[in-house]
Amino acid sequence: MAVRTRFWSNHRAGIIVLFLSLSWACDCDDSSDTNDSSDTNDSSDTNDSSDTNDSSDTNDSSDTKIDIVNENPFETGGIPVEISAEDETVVVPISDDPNAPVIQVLLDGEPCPNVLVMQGGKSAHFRTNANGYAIVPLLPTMGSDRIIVASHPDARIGFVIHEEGNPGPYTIKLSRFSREDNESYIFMDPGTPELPDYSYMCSHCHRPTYSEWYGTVHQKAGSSNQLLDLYSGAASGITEPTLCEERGGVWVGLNGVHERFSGEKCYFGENVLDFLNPACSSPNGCASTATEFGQCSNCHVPGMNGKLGSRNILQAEKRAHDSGVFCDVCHRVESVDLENENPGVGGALKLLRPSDVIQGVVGDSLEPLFFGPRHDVPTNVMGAVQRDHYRNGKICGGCHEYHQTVPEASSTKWPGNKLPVHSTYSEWLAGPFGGKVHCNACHLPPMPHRVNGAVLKPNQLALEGLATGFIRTPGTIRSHGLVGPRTTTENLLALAASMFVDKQRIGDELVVNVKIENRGAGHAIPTGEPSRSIFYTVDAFCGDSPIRPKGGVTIPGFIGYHQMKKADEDWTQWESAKIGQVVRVVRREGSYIDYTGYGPFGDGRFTVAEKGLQREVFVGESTILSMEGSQVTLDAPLPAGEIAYLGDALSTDDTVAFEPAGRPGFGFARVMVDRNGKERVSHFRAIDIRVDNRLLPAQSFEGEHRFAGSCETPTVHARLWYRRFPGWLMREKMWSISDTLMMEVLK
Amino acid sequence: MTRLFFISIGCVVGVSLSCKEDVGISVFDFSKSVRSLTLEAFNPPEAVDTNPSPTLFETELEATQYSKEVNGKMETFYHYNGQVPGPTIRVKVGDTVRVHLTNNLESATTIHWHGLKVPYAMDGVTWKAEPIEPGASFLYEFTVEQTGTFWYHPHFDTEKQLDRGLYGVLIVEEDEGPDVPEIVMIFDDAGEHMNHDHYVDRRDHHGKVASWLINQNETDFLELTKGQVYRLRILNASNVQYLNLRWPQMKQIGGDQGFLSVLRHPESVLFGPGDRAEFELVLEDEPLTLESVPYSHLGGLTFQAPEVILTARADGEEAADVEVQWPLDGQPPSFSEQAPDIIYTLQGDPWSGKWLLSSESFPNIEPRKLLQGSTAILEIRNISNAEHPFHLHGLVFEIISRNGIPVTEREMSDTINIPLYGRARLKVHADNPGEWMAHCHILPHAYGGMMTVLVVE
Repeated sequence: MAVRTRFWSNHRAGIIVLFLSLSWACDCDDSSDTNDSSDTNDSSDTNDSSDTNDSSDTNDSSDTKIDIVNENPFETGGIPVEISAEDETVVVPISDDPNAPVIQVLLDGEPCPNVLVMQGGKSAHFRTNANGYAIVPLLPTMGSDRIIVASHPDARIGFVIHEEGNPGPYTIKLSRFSREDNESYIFMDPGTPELPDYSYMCSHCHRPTYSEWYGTVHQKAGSSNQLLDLYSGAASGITEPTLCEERGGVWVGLNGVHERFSGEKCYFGENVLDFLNPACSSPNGCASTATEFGQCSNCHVPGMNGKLGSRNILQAEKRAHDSGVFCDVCHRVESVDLENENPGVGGALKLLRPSDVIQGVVGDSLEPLFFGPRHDVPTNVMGAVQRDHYRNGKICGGCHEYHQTVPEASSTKWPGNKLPVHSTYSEWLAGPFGGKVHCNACHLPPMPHRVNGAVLKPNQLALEGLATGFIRTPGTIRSHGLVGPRTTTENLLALAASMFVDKQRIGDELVVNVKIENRGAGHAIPTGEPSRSIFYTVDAFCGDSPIRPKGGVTIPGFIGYHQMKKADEDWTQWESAKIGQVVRVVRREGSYIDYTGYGPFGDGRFTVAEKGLQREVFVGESTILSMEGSQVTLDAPLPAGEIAYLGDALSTDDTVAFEPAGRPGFGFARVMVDRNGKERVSHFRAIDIRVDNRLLPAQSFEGEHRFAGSCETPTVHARLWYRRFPGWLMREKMWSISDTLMMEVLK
Repeated sequence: MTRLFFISIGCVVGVSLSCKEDVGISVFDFSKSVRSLTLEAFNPPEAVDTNPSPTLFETELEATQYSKEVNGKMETFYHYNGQVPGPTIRVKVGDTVRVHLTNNLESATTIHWHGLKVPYAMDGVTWKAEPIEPGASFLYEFTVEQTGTFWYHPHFDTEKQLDRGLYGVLIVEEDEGPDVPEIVMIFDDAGEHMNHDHYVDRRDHHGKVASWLINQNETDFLELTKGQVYRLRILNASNVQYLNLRWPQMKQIGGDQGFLSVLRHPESVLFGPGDRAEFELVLEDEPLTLESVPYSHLGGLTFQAPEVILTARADGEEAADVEVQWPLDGQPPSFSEQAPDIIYTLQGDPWSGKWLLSSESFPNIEPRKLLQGSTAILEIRNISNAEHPFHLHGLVFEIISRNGIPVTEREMSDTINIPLYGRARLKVHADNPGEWMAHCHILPHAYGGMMTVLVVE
């Protein structure tokens, strides 16, 4: 390796690389004028050389020792570059190297130690000494100004522009921002696809980021049909009054703020408002009379102006409804408290809406205040403040971890009556990715073709006020497309789980072993909403002819069936059956399948019986050939067994909620049950979790399946499916959401 | 401010300013010497065969270290036989290779023969073996059965030893290959590691702009004979950086494992760390410029402008117009619907520097196994924030499909790049018993944990 580096050797200042975890404790006086930013955070000050180069001020501390450190870049939000050192300490403010100027940082007028200073767009970080001084070696930039920034957790990032040849000292003045959340603040518009990028929109300067975000499930978090149907009781898939009444619904109008709720819809079935407001019993889901709204809005429409959290989603104004989880919500999170029992902006995510007022030529306005991952966003347009939770996944945990308080839940089984309905963050934390490979690493890919988070094109007016934007190192900018199971381009579902199939003929049987492994995801598969499940199906063939299953584990009932009957019921009567559907009979052997699941399902607290996964093995199946009323005629007599499931034959043409319970295969879900013992209910009405056999990171499941092997070279077709909602719910609401094929093996 | 801003945009769109940064090199570094080299001076010196047998190539390699000043501090660097790159070992297929390695470093070392199917004991890995201690010697001996461009480097303390000079090319010639002069280009990134802390911190290499050196020369011009057909062998020996290389009318004849099945005319060729390729190069009337099109392993092409790395220009001689017939066999790719026997998932986080392979971090791994003599399908998936050149020791694989789409040309390899969210299926004949390392060849990723073992028994 030849060495061509010259730059660092020129520095008089010694620098050492120390990966220290420094606290943010700042000894600067908390003066009474903390919130007075009128003269402390004015960028014109920082560009005023008469102010910043006041050597008389800094020469007084010529004998001050200074530690210059390059600390843990992960904690501080950056990547270090190599820095060689002669000494661990240097005397300030002397620097005769114009490329390593002296910086002094004042916080509310007082010299402030331990402030992070760095060259904008670079990697190395340094800390100010007891007198607020630091020396910042400057690297070349791609032609633009060299900017030195100072980042303190209580103040907006400040900066100076380095004048070539000037070794300083420069002064960067910071002032504390108000810690008072401004409830009268109006959230900023992220942008609108139909309109130009007006300057009041985030998309004005951040169009690529906006475009990545628009269309994501986060953008649709407050407007998806599924959310609103579950919340209000509507069935958006039913668009005709007649059909509505046929299915037991009520066709009524609803008066919401958003135009979305102005028209008439079909209302029936389970919903949040009905559940939380039992007294109202209105056919339209208590939309106009409800007083309890739960925690849904905290994460689904967090950008409702005014009070944060526990709001009525149906009262969300257009921006909050249309934009869901958007720029001005996420980048307003000052801190994260994952111990808070309320998720999102109602508790775990502490939003700080700006309240500092600045005077301008057209009157007073709020001084911008945004939080983000970087220390080097030196633009007054943003008023940026760095926070680590944008890097370490905690902000994700604010909504992707929710332990719902359920008074009816057994406090013995669920301490504090808390049901873990969302546990993605803690699944990740406890697994091999925990604290190592963070959420961003899979879900926010880098974009090396992007120059800056803002659009840096000279022909765009946005740049008139964006003089301090600079070209960042390739890969610094990350996509806000929030890659997930429904972003088809990246196809995470095809990468997350592995399926291996082994087959062998033993006597007159074909024995198939299927192994499903979670070696891709850093959390359980599936994770998130407990409505999700994955399951695999196994079929065997001789040529094109299916081979009859003989035994082996089957897909559990919780994955889905049309009807289930026990042994003492009449298996020739199926009220809702259709020709072509299949009755599958399984035998319960009285034993349970053990597994290591989330929380008490894996930490030894639950017995194998309490884990709830009864072993069911395949006995036989018959297809419905004809019907007379509820009396069915089957293509073959049903064998004896404990349970009969009415389900569907698997059709590759239509995979909308085909019901596979009792079929050769297996399934994985967090099975929430309501007070009536109904399985796979939505979490808002759950009082217990019967099963949670979702595959945690690095875990696997192996299932054996037996078929009547009647040829020399039978083939096996195994398919692994992802399902977003239980079939019964999709039928009730008439949602047409296909299962997604994650992986298939033909062997 | 506006003026400066426009200058920066100029860098982006290709105005001819040097746009390097963060590599410790001044943007306006005019001190770089403009040098011109003949082919003889350009190619790395070759190893001397000390054995008179025509089928036995025997040579000695001595690994030594030296110090030089970097950023005002004395740093340790390494070389084989006093040269970087190490001596090019040139043998014929079927030859037995004997290399006597003497370790005169202050730390242990080994040699791994990258891309060659050597006996396990000769593979230079320390998964279940001891490295060669300082002052000790070791005899590497194996017979070469493949043809093509391979390379050798340590597989112990690899990040540092390879990065700081221990590598060389091993060329296995065909029995009756075309007799044309060869150009050997070993690309390395100057300034990858300037500080020893980087060998324990795997998060600090990302997004940096490569500053390429060829054969450790700061050469601007290579003098070639006009009309002469050259066989150009290229290796990316960088620890981290991707080389995306182009020149007009590229003719690719070989890849990681010798000749391709068909001639390719790519617009550019991407070399992940460890990748090799071979080309036919003919200098016509105009000088020929090799350009690097900046490519980040964080996901592809960057916003930066292409950079000229080397210009090949006429040396005043002119060769007779001869057309070379390369032995490209035209064999179609294998088609396989066989399900994967093993799935490796590449995971990690550039910000934390933690890297995993199938949720495991080397050496805390559970090796997967293949039966000797079996043919298996491996699926490699990438679910991380970086691209990864996946390298398999001891075995050669055929690339069957990328992202579920069957390949159209047969390609044998030992190192394959898996882009972000990408996957590839590889067909491997498990004919060489051993406990073979499988890892990302971005060395900070491998040594950050993205490494495993595939047992063939």
